[in-house]
Amino acid sequence: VTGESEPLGQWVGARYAKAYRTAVLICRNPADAEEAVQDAFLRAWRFRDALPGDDRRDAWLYRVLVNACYSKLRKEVPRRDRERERLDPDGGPLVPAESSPEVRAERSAVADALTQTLADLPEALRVVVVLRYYADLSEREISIAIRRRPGTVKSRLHEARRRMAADARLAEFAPDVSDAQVRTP
Amino acid sequence: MIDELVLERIFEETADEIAVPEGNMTRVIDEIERAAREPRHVSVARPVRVLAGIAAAVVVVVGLGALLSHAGSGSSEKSTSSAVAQPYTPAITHGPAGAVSNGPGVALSGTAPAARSRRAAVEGGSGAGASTDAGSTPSAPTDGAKIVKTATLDLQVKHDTLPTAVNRVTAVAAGLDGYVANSTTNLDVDQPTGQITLRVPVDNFDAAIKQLKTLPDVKVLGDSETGKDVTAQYTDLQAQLTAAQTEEGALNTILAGATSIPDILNVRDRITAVQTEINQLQGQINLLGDKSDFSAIAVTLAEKTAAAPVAKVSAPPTGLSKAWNDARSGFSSSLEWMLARSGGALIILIALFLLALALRYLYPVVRRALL
Repeated sequence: VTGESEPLGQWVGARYAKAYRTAVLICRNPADAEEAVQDAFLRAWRFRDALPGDDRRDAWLYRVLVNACYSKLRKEVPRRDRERERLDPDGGPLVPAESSPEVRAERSAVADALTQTLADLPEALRVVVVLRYYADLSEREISIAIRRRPGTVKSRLHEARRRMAADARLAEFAPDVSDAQVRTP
Repeated sequence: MIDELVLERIFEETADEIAVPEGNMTRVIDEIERAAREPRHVSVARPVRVLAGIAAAVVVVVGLGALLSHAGSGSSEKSTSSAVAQPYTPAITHGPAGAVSNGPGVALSGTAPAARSRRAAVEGGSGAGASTDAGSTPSAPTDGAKIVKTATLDLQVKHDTLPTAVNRVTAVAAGLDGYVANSTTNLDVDQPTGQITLRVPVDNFDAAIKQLKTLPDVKVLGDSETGKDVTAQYTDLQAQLTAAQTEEGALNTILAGATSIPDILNVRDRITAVQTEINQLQGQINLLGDKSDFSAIAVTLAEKTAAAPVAKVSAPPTGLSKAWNDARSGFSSSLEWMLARSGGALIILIALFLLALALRYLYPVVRRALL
């Protein structure tokens, strides 16, 4: 996975935090995200011979990660739903449930708004928007990660942004700027 | 629509709020290094899997080949035996039991049981079969004896020569002062046949049989001769006829002397009955005389069918070919031996082994595809 020039520890260290946070944003559960990330790195290592060249390895890593997250989401729905109802009926904890009240209090209003908005998005839209705007993958890399056509990725991104723009909880922090500059993927 | 740059900032701020648990990354690295220290499962086992897969494929291919080869040789034997048995079918159909026969030993000897039994009857019962019916030898009648002689001949002619053969048989009867009593031919079938009944004078019986057997392009598949001594019956009929004629003469004398009407009527009725009896006796005597004077010869003609393809006999293999055949035969025999003694358990075990091998080999490929 790492290639001959990049040590394992360095390769994992450079990607673990981002992969973990991506998993948390997708799974909306730190425990599931932790397991998903660990599974993803191990599987990427186990099947490193099947991975493509260096330029696409990150995309394949996220592909494994997304699959692991999907697996967690589908297997852990009952437990997660129960935990979410118990801890945060409006959205779901971004930090571990055992975090102190001080930590929860320090969460920014932006994070709360985005967390709740993501919770309302379907999984398919949540995954692409997280990969695009947090993991910073291109549409082509996202298409590899979720095994869909680039056109599908583009339409899902468009739909996700439309729904987020319509969410009043984000309006304060991310106003509808349809006439603003749109970045080219 | 939300600006993408704003979205990226919001995601960044939100992600910053997510605390990454300490130690998780180290644990992941440790797990990966532990896995790295272990023998690489795929790369190390791959040659073994490939070799095992090739071996399994070879076993399956060779086994199937041996089984198919065995099945193919079995069907070949069946076709050969049917082709051999076919020429004997008419002989079996027409072969009369308990009759004198002089069937050709060369053509009929060998494999067919019916042909062998008939040949045994021919060789063991020559000249004695007729005694079953007549009690005397038809070929050696005593002087003055009335012998009804009949014969049957099963002849095989070459393909598409049946009409010619029929004409030749008819000519035999005509040449010996005989005649054709009945003739039936059936040409519109795969194997044309004909049945001809000849009547020839009893003195020419043997000559007719000889000529029929020596017709050109004719093969005798079977024959039989029977002789029935009707001398006693003929003598008895003659005696009854003489007595009836004597009675008729006496009644005529009485009739000439009768004076009353009732006597005349009674005598006439009696004469009529006697004359009827005389006519019946004379008919039976004539019939016996005709049967004994003209012998009946029933000739059955059948065209020879197209030659069945004979299995090509190849030269016995030598060298590597012989070794390969021996190995294949030995493998097949061993497989049959194992299957016969293990029942279905071995089949199930082999199937499970092949299934496990396939899953083991295909699993990494599937996993990579699903990765």
